[in-house]
Amino acid sequence: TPFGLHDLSLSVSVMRDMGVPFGVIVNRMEPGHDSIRQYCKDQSIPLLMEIPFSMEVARACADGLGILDVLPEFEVPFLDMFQQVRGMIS
Amino acid sequence: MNQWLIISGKGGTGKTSVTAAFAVLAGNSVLADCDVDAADLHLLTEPENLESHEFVAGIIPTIDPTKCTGCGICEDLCQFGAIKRISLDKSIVMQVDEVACEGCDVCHYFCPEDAITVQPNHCGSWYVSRTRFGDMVHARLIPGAENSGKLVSLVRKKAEQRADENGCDLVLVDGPPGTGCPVVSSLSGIDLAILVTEPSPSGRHDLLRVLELAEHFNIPSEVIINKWDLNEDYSMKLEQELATNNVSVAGKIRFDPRMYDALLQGKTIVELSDDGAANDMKTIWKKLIFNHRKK
Repeated sequence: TPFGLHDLSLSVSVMRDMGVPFGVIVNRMEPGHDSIRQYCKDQSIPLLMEIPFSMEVARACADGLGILDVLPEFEVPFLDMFQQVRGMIS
Repeated sequence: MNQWLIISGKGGTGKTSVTAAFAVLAGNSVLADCDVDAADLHLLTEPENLESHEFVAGIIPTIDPTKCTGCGICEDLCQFGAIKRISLDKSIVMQVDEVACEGCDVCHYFCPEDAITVQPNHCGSWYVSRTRFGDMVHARLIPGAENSGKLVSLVRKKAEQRADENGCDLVLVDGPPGTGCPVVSSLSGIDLAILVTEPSPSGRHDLLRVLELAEHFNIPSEVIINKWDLNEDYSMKLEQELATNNVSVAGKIRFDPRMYDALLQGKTIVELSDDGAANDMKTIWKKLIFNHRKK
């Protein structure tokens, strides 16, 4: 969203000022809403994961459950993402 | 003067969207964006800038390497780990880490060589703009900078002054998330705290914290449960819990996918539709005006 993109750019400034390695995960992604993906591409920022918007996830989180309780197929992408992060910091 | 603050505790519950929608429904108000760390209200209000000012608060020290002997007294005294040793032209001198520095001035005071000077710290900027709803006072803190509480106070003060000058009796304040110093600063002198929450354990948890804060300062509160139908059971339980504790709930706003479209267009949902969430907001607004607006 425009709020997300705006605030992300502020966070990116801080990370760059402090020299901390970083990557982006886009949450509640909808098809066609790719301003963040484009921003990451333009800024050469690693886009670690995109998690789709899902009413079931929203409801489950409201019940105190996690994303993987509703979308277990995301276990592999999450593990892949951890590996990628490990690679970035080693 | 009516100064109404929209806060939430948890971030992302919809404060800014609700503030902007209320500004439309109010017809005439002065807006204050007090989320100075990550201000977003301008994304919905299309501001035309009228004034820009530097925000300077606190000090930042500089160590002159030609005078510094590397004695390390400043490093020992610094409570914030903001002074480090560096090697310069084969000698050791001290250097300030500007991000870690809190501007306490101790190093400057105790340096035996007078090698430290201090300058006013430029932490950000604040602005007065015109929007389609009325004037807006907003600010931007430089990422990583200090004194966000002071900048919030400044935005509040300028917004109130602007309302006085414009003969306007309503200031709508888009508050910061959390319960820290900027939130406390934004609560000062507020007539009504409007708490926007969502039906989730973290929403509830953070709501209770800001409620406690508002009560501590004797500020009347009204709760709005946003996106309530994402978890109807949880919403109902929350409403019951609040009623049991004599906390007033002004109303509930349903999840409405058109909120996103409105956001993309830089508009508020009440400008784009009459039903759904827009209608919920209108109902709540009428209730708030009826119960709280002072003439």
